[in-house]
Amino acid sequence: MEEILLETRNLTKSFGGLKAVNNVTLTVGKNSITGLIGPNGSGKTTLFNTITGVYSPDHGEVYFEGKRIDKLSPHQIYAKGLVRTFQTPRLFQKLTVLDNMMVASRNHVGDSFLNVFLKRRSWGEQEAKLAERALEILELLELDDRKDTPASELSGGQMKLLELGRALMTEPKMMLLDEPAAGVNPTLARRIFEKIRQLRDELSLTFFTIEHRIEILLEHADWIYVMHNGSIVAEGTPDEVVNNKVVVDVYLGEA
Amino acid sequence: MKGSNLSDPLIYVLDMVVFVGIFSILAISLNLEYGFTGLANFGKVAFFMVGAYTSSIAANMGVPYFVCIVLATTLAGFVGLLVSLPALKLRADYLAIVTLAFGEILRFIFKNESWIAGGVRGTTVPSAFLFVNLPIRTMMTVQIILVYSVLLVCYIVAQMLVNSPYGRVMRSIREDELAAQVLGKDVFKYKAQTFTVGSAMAGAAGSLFAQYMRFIDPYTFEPFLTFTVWMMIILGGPANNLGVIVGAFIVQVLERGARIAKDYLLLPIDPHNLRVMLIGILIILILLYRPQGMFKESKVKTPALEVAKKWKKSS
Amino acid sequence: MINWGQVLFNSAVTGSLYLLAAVGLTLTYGLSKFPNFAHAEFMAFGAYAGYVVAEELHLGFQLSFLVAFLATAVLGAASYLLVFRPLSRRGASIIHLMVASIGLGFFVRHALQQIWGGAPLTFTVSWSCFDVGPVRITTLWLSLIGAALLMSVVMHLILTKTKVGKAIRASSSNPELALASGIDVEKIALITWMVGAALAGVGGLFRAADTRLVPLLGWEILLPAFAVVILGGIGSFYGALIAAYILGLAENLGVVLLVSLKLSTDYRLAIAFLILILTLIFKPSGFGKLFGEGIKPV
Repeated sequence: MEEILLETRNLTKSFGGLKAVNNVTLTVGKNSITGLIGPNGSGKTTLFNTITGVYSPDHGEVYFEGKRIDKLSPHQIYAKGLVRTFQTPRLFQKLTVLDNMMVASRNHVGDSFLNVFLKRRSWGEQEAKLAERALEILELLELDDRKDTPASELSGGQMKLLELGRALMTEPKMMLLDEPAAGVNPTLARRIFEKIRQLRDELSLTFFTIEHRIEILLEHADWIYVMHNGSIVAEGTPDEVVNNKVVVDVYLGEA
Repeated sequence: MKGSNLSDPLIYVLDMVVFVGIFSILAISLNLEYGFTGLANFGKVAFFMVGAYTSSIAANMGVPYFVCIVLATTLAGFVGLLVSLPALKLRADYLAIVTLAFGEILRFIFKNESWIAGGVRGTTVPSAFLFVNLPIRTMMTVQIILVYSVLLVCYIVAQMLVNSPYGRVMRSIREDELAAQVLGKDVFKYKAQTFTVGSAMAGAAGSLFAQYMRFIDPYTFEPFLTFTVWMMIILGGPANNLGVIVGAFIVQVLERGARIAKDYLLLPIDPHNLRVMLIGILIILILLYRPQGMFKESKVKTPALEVAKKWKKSS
Repeated sequence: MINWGQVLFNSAVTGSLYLLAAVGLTLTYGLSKFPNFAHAEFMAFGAYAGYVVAEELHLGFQLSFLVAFLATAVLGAASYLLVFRPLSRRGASIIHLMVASIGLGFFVRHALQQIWGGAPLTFTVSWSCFDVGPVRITTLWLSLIGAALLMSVVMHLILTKTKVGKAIRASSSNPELALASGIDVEKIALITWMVGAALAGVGGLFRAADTRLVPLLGWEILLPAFAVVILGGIGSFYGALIAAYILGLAENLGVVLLVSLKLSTDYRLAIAFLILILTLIFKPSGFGKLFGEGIKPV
């Protein structure tokens, strides 16, 4: 594999007596599309939450670009270039689609209190540029005609797309996607992943994505981790994983 | 409120105009905290009181009014910052309890420590204007100009703040703090800054109030005042600065209406009790049947809106 | 020379009052998920109801407790059914519920003030006063401690042995889970609100008899009540039980300290505030977790 961008070592997080994330050690290579699969309740989202600072780990470390990030708060992790989406979109309900996108932008001059008053021209120009960029992304996701709609009025599928669009707006180095295409119609789901592929190729982004539908990952992922009951039970290329008896058992056991 | 002068209906109206102005400043300050940022500040009266007392003590020491109001605003803002440091990490209900308790404790201290501006007995306050021998109508007009100038400044500052990327972040924090954090915003910093600004504005209002009333005591600053400001926000429509000014106007009308009812309708009920009971019931009714208030939330008006308007699909 | 016996006894008295005041608050807070600021007026209402019976109808003090209990239960039911449940059903936010509770509180308080005026009223019931060694005791205080003890025993039995009680425990600490387990949370909520208010009313009556009756009676003990609720863990009866007496002890020790420092003993209120703040800063979930109850802070 190429250079490692994200790494966890012995990462553990418990709630009460339950180990939701149990001694997880994994790496995500730069420029890869790495998948994370596993039955419901296997700890995938908790793992994401622990990596992105929403939870602090009980044990273990997380490294991004070689530096430890497990003690950082979520907004500091964003600053390092690591961005995540939520499985159930956490949109800003009363804000418009466009405003949702704009909030996600990075290093906005107008985000600082004093600059609001003292650097009006500067942030005004930046606003205009960011708005253009946001609208381009929205157009890609076919949401541009809803730019003035409050996020609460979007359909379920549109909400997922906006969630993704917001993450794209952040100019990340790496994106942790939590089921980005769940609940979206198959054609659009396919398009989303093609887009992810494209972004990886053109912008050298790295993706670590939780996905329920193995078929999609088989087509697009470079490497897959399989989680069950908080631990990584298998990993490998899509072909290896599909033919892995442990994985089959884990999924059959759920059926 | 100002004694015998109120028998002149014009003076009564002008008095009301002054009150609407002062309370509009309070309403805008709470609007920034709750309407835009979602903070459950139930201690607004505390900062109003800090401003009033600071200004009064300074004025009684002979300090020119311009400096008094600046001191009041600064100290109130500073106290707001101090309170925000431990308090803003708490979730909404805890924050409400703590800010409410803070207001009560502060009032308690002012009551018990008689060396602070007379304690229970209160203190007289010189007017901002030293020429006191002019006709009352002129005095009132001058007061209105003072109060509304400060209101204008607060309104402009508030509008600039909310119609900016910063203001957009404030609203995002209100909607979903975690999402805002994950998108790179230092939520605590925004909340603390907003709370500080809101407290400072309340302090300015307190200063104006003290010099207008010419007398303050701890009993003036009871929790009901905080509650009436909340009423203004909820009635006018949170996150709309013009809306909450309208809310301030309506609440003043309601408060005064109760007093007029006693004088002219000879109701067997104490107007003070009537006024409080009326507002208590009204807010419950509004929360039940029209919780979004009268006016919709204002949009984030930045250059982004214009770009969006002119946007044409590229394909 | 500090009269430690008196300090301990006073702590028991204060703690008992705070317990009666706080039980209803913590249970409804846990169940309906918001702090009911009108709880102060439940206390005042009960005191006035008791006053009517004892001082206006001259029907005796014992009866006044029963009436305070029942009348405030009705107020609690009315508050829940007319204000809080409709608001919850319409999806009101916690902030809206809190504002509504403040509005309700103001309404009730000023209605009381309108009827009885703002001037302090006193109970003419005479209590006997006697000394046990260096400790001064009155029968009122003994009744208060007795009432709190009785209530605790009864509550414990109800909460552990009866179906309703177990449902209350479940609903106060985790309403969603309770609902999912098939508990009729709305019915339980009504009962909780009624009982909680009733106990507050009794507490208020004791307070009025011990000091004097004014409309602001409830507000005077609201802050300590909240301190007890938070320290004990929201929604936890047992937590409140322990926290009430801890606060009672802390306050009375604090009074000793204030006196020795020649400060006004009025500042005992600040002790409750201090405990409240410190708990929120260092252990926001309070004791509740010790009993597997109480709500998670996030």
